[in-house]
Amino acid sequence: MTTGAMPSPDLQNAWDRVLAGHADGLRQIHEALYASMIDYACRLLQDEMLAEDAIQDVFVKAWQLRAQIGEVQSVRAYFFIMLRRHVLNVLRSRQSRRRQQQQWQQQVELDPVFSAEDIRVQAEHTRQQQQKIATAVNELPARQREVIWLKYYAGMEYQQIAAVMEINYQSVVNLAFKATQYLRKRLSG
Amino acid sequence: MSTPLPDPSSEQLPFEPRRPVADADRQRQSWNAIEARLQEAPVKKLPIAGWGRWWWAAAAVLLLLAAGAWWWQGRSGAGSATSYDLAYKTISTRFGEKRRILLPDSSVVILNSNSELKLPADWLLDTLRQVWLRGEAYFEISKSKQPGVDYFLVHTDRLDVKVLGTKFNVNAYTAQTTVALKEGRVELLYSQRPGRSAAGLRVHSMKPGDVVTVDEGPVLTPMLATAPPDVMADWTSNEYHFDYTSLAEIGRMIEQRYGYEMEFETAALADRTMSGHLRADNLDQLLQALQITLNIKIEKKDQLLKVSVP
Repeated sequence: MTTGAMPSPDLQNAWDRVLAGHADGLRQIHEALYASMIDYACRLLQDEMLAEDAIQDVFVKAWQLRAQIGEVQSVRAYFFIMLRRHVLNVLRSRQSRRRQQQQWQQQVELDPVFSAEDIRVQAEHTRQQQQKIATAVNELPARQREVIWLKYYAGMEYQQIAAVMEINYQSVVNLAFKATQYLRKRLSG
Repeated sequence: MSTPLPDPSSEQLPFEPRRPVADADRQRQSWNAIEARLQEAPVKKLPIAGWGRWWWAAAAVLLLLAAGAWWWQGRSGAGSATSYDLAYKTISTRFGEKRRILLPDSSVVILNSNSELKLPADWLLDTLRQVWLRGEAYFEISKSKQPGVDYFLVHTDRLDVKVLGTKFNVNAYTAQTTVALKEGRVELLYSQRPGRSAAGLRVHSMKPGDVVTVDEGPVLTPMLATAPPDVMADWTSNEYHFDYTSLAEIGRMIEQRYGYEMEFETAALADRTMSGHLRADNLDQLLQALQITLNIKIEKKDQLLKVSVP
């Protein structure tokens, strides 16, 4: 269920290499986090190419600003925070361009979408069950869905999720609780 | 040496609605792009007002100019990839692979095997929507929300398709280019003079159900046929529709999509025809169906398909 291609201490070492000015550290972080970051960005942007651009921009920025960033508590969470902020900026600039042209306006909102293929919680799930779970997950409000994704697909702790989504710890716990409660109710029938 | 055809039921669907996004190749490509940018100086933000507006206009003109030159550049590599240069992104598919692409204007393109779609790297709402195609693709173009720029252009080597919110298929694997319209309205722009000279420019309007083919040869003369809309672009759902289609034609289609060349034991075999609908999720299933229906034997050997009478 978790990705964990690289255990966290190695990510910390890799980031220390980056701080010392070695690009190979950044490459190691990229190798470890790329799969889950691109997946996250694709869900939020619903556009593979914009997602890829976002990842590249985030890594280039991390390198350029490494001196200002300095030590971080969790490298994984930090890269997801940068990615999420970047995605919000992309969506906002897209929206402001629309506004200039007097197009419809809407609140910038992150809205990850799940497909049946994503649901591989247990191997014995049939295609039909997968579809059912995906449908149920997609019925959740966007923020609950995002918490679920960060927890089960990116393998993050609540503390890290709170940092990434820039909300407090208790809100994450509440969102996760509401989401699991809803899913349990929805899937028990 | 020949490979026996596997049991079709054990095969996986080659086309997934949502492709697993990351693989090692893609990670490496992404990293290479990042590595190349690490020496960049941090970017300062440009003011949006004032001359910023003109900057976009200049970029749009550049895109249009560069478009003309694109087809002169050779095709690099046969692998499936998304590559980047300054002005474009290129998305390509391998033999036997299909990709579904969601464009920023929420139009959908399904790119068939062994094909290439090129699009502007910066997809701005206020510029013309246009893409370049080599190979075959099915398009579902969303209605533009932009007054003034309400159409979408698909450029191919031989002709351009001008679109107003619509569903259609373009096959431009070879000089023979086919456009099939399922819904809506499109116009074909082509030149009857060599070199796509503007002097010979013609416009042809299509209705739903129309299938227009321009043949090989220096002079473009479109030929009109019709087809029921439900059999158009049947490849997007892994369905094949044959209507007195010769094995030679099926062979050409297989070569374009899967990269296997068909070799016939006797000339008469190439002329055998087939009619009807069939569903095949991959090449092996298709060959299996052909073998049974036409009572022939097809052997896979290297990049060849040897067709013989059993």
